[in-house]
Amino acid sequence: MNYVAAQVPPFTVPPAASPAEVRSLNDWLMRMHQASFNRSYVGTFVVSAGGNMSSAKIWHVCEGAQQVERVETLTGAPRSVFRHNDQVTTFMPDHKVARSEKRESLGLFPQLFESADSRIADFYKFRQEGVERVAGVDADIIMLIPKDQLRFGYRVWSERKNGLVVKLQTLDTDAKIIEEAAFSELQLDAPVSMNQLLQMMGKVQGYRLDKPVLVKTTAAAEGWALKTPVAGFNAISCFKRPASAAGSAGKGATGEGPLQWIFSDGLASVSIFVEPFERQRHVRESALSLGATQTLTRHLDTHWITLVGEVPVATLKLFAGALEHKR
Amino acid sequence: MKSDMTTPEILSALADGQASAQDLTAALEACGQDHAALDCWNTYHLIGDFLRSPADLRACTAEGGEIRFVSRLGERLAQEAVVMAVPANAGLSPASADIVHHHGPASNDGSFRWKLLAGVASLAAVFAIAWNALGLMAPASGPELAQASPPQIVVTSPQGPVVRDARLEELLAAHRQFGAASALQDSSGFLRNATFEAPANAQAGSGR
Repeated sequence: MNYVAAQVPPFTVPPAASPAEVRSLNDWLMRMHQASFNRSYVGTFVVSAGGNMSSAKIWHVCEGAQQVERVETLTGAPRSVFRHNDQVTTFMPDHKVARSEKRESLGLFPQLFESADSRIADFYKFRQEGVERVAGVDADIIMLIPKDQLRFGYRVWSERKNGLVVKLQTLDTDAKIIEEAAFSELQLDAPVSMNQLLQMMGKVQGYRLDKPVLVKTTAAAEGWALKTPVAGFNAISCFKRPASAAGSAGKGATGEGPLQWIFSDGLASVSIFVEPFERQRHVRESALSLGATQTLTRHLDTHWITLVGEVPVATLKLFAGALEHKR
Repeated sequence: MKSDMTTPEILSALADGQASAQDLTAALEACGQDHAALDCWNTYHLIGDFLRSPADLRACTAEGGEIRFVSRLGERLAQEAVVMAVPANAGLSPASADIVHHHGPASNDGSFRWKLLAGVASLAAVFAIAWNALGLMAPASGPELAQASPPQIVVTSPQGPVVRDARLEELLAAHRQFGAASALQDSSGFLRNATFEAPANAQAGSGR
């Protein structure tokens, strides 16, 4: 990883001809990131996890700094998800509900990335595994291997010319594939009209518009702390989520939604949800696995803790064990 | 011929496929000599056919033009119950049922058991599907079980049976909203999550 070329600013790397080996982990990640910002495409995306397969059709368009994306699910309940930069509107036609929300983390990336590169390299090794064709395009295969047992590995297929991620596998600590996401069909530089997508995104008539408001806070202000940090994971943000109908299981009495404390190691993220313990609802502590996503619940004094993350369950247990309430 | 069995018992056993070679000989003898025995034999088959017919067909038969037959069958069954209420294994009370086959499992028993097993099996399948469907898709699109009044569902998983509720679905969605707190997820993660998730499905489902 300590190649001399690693010092070369990522965007001066000439596209196709450059020998891929000279790129650092930093270069690769930046390249993949950047590719999603300057390519327009139409494709079909397939995600396979926990024995379940989902697919969706994607329209993606970039004009200058503006990015608009439309995702139509092809499996399960019909959903249309529109994204305009960090603004996301999800249409649920079967419920006549449209939810509008801000994806804070999408804007988070460059800063996370710039400050975290060394950190990512501290916890993941990378190596190239040749070239393969995916969805009709040639892609470099990059393997990201965790240096400890606290995180999963990734195998990434990055389109050769521009770096767009066309396939992504998540591998468990035994290097077994637990989740796979890939384009099954991809038309790069497809003519997609941004205006048309934005018009569709704005058509919320006939839908109940749901705008969950997240209140930004800090874990410390809420009285929560980790006795010992979990290696590589930094706190990213902390929110109070609005109480929702489903959240309070129809009781609606608590009035306050769960606290969500988010951690990331640069590649994987963990959410710690804290809510008041309710004897009737919080019957049993459990650990579930859904593809790469693991969940763990814990009863902690007067609180019920739910941990969710794309990490091994052992990592969630470390978080659960380290969590303490100071008030 | 087994001396401890009456003709109807032997015929019942035969109809159930439980008769021995001896019984068969006795039954054939009985039917050749006795019209009542032949009637009895036919009746058992009618009963068997009726019980094995699909429930909706039975209901339809009961409501339709076959009422006389059904009531006649009822009468005959009542008679049979009397005739046959000599339990071979005396511990069993025949009173609760109109149809009493005291010799081995009744002709319908097998199919009832089979149905029960089928029920269990299909329930397990439903749960397995529910796990997959609910795992990351909308409970609303899952089986009706998911919408039963307490918003909980037992699912089979590699970890054994577990209870999931709408809240967990919601928290999963909330986590995924920030799943892009990752260098990799930023480009492909939105697609992954949009493809995968059913945002606020639980909320939408029960929030009305």
